Amino acid sequence: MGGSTQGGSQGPSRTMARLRSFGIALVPIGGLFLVWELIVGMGWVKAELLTPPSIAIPEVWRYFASGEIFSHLGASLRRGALGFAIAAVVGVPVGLFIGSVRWVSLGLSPVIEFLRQLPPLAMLPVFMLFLGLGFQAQVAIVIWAAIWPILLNTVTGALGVDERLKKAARTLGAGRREIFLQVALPAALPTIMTGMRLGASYAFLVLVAAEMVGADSGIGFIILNNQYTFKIPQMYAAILILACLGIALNYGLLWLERLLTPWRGNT
Amino acid sequence: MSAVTSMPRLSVERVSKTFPTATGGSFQALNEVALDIAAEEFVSLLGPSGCGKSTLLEIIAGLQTPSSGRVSMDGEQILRPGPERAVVFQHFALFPWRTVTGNVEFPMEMARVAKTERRRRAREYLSMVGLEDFGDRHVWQLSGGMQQRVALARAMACTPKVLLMDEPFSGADAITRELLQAQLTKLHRATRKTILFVTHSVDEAIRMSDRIVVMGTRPGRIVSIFSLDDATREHADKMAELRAAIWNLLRKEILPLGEGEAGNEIRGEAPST
Repeated sequence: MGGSTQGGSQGPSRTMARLRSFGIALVPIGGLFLVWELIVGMGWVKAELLTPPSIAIPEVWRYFASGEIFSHLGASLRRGALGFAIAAVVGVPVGLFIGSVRWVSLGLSPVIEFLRQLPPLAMLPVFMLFLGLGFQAQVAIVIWAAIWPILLNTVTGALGVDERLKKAARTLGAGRREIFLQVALPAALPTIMTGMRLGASYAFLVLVAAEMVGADSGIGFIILNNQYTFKIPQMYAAILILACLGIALNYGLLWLERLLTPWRGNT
Repeated sequence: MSAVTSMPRLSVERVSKTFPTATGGSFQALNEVALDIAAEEFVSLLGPSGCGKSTLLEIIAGLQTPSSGRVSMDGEQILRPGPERAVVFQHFALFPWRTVTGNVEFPMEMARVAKTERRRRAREYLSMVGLEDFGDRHVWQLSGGMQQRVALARAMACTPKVLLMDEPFSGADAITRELLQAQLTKLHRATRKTILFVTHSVDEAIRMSDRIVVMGTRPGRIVSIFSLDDATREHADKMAELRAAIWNLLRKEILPLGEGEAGNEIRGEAPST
């Protein structure tokens, strides 16, 4: 009997492959830093305007060693995580509901599409008007940025559940509630996860910009503040920290996606 | 109605089914279909596309309701799907987010079977189809033939009285198909479940069935019913005769549609009689 099986090997060879692809990704990044160093070192761009990595990277180290960066990172993460969590906790159930009831989805999809098209930063003055300068307005703008992709993808996922699987579940003795929890929800999960990842990256972009406009802490704030106070090496150091944060965020979500939906791309 | 023993397991009484079409007309998928199936019987529904064989199966499954007529199991009218009539679909319909064992356990979870009992029985059903060592795999790690065997094990986990199979092996390659057929025959002999098997392969129907119900198109209806047993199957002459008779019937059903369109639907070699 038998028949061939594929995939499945999750042992050390897979870990090695991951490490190798990570290592390969580091080469062009190293190249980028080299070019960056060179254009300053050769005098093509003034070092006062563009801090070379040989100076910026030690500044990153100093930020961490002095502990100065932690309060800012903490402030950004608090705003981002809270806003994103609220967007997910509201967006997923509401999206599932909209997507499960066809006439509701037909009625509401244009509204969602319209609201999604508004650039989130355009809403910042509105939120500031209602919530004042500070934490609440920052969280509100993160929610706004993250909720639309989460909502839209969840609706799409719920609408796209394979009817044949629902049919099979009925013949296997599943009732409405069981079909929703055991079939519709897991079937929509890969699409929901895509929405979460999009939502997180939008939230990240918007948060940094919002911190530059209306905050006195956070990673976005120190980037702009360093520029105002002519601490240019520190400004580039903060930008580097921000970039690493973004990469970590993306990898974290990819990891979570693989953990929750291992069957994805294999059906 | 007097003797319980003579009551058929499945009874299809003058069932018709009409669908509305997109152009506002209507399409008659089934016309006055009547059929009784005894317990322990293996019956094949054989016919070209559009003869309503899958529609009939779905009506018996309780997934569709007939426009007129009635279907019943053990004398009780069928109104909705239920695990006593398990369905094996052409496209497997396995849940990709569950492991092989998880898929087989699904109907038992729905029936609130305790967890240890589920595990034990899932293993039993998987060994019935020769997959006891694959319980921890994900569905997508298995070949198509293995996936269909998981679907069969899952259907058995419903502890059904009737197995309804909708062209279950039509996606498999020729070798896999033969193995699946042999396995199903063995399973039928071992469990004596009532099996209703939809196919468009003449050879497949002949290999496994106690009775072959040949269906025709426009409207979907029963054209003829053939009975056969293992003694007949060993008789080459009688088999050739049966095959020729079925082919002649099918040819009449297919030809008015044009050679190319439906002619490809019937698999296997037509005898040159």
